[in-house]
Amino acid sequence: MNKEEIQKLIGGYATGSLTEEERRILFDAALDDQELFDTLQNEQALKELFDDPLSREQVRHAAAESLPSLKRAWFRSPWMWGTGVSVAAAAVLLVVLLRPIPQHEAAYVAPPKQIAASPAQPRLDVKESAPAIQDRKSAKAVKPVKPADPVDNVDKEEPRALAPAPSPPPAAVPSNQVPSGPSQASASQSQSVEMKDVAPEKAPVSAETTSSPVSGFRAQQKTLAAPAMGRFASAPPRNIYSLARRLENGAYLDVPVDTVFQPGEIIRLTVFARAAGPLTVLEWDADNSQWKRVFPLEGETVQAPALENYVVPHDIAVKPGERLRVTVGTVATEIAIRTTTAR
Amino acid sequence: MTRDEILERLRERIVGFAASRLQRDAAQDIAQEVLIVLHEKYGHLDRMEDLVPVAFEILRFKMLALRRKAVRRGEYNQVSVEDIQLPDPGVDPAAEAERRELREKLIEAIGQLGERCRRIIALKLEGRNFIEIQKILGAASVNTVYTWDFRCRKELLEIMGGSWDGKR
Repeated sequence: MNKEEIQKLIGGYATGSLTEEERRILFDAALDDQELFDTLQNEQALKELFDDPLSREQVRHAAAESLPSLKRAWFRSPWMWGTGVSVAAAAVLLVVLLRPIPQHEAAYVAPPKQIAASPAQPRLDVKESAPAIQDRKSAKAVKPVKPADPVDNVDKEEPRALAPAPSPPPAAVPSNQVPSGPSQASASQSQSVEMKDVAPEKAPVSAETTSSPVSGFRAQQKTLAAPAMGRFASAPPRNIYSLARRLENGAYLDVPVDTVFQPGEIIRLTVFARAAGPLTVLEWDADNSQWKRVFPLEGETVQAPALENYVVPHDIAVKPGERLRVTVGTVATEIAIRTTTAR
Repeated sequence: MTRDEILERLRERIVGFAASRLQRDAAQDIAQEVLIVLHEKYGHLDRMEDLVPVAFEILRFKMLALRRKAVRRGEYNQVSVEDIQLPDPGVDPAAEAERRELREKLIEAIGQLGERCRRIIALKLEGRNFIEIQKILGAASVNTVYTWDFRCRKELLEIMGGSWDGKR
């Protein structure tokens, strides 16, 4: 800084507006320059005034009085940024909502639905036959589920693009068939994954428990929930369960919940419960047409934590038409595992 | 720069300042008194950024004290001994009165300044530094703010009559 520039720092001395570096420059110059030293010494009266908080505030108030509000450039305005962000978010949401729904090649996996009561025997979506298949785009708002008939509680709006899955690879399986439940599973068809949140079998039929199609477990967003997210704006952001496939080396690889497994594959289930409660995993025994408890063992109790992933320490060997029922507290979810043709 | 070097330069400046207002001998005495205070009470300070402002403050007190002492001695105004008041150990009413007077004058003068100057003064008194003021005012550079502030200070000083406390 030259002398002229240094002199411009004088105004900041009394008000204490100088940075450490500016003070050092100013004082160093003042020790060599008598005129600057004298000027600073004369500023001392002002400095003493401003060192008094009351006086300082009074002067500040007088200076700021009747000042018009500061004009800012539009891009400096916080509200402008806020508006911009909101508009961008709305645009993204709009794109998500209006984007065409990709047809699932293999089978459509319906989002979980909580229903009023669990049937004594799992009933399948046989109503959802080919004529009932709808284009997803035509699907409208979710209708309340009738508590009287648990089967009706299954989300009928979710189209079921179904197809036979002639063979692996599991990722892309053509689909034209109606999904079938455990008792109707066809070995010649791939099995669609279906999920139904069901109330415990002893739970009373209640409209309240059936009113929210988003309660209970939720499928993975990418493969299942994305089209539904617009409609279920309040849906939890995380999956309610996830699947992992055991590899040959014994490691587990997380896979989408609509992955098509081959019979005999080993999978691991991870549960993300929204409310803590005792966890039970049942597996559908097609031979005996009943649910069989697989975890925990009879007489044991395992608590699933709330809002945390809980890896079920019981590997499941996938069978054709594999179905699981996961219960946490009072909320149960049926999970249908997609499988390829039985060999 | 060592503390001794700083004090040496300070002494020179203090004498220069005081000599412009007092006799040369008195100026030497003032400088000596300031240095004694710096030595006895502020021996722990060795940075220039700390010593110089403290020296300014001490020097101001010494100059004011010298002026009041002269008044009491009747060097300027002869008064009868009955009119001489005993010193009050509390808040110096004279200093308080001076401060109040300066504050009122300053507020009045600031009211005559333009909008930008008033805004800069307000921002400085809010504790903003020049870089922050530059951003708030949208100035092209901090040097612009230095210049604005320099001009505002000059204008304000002119309105105030050339000095802040009128004791040139």
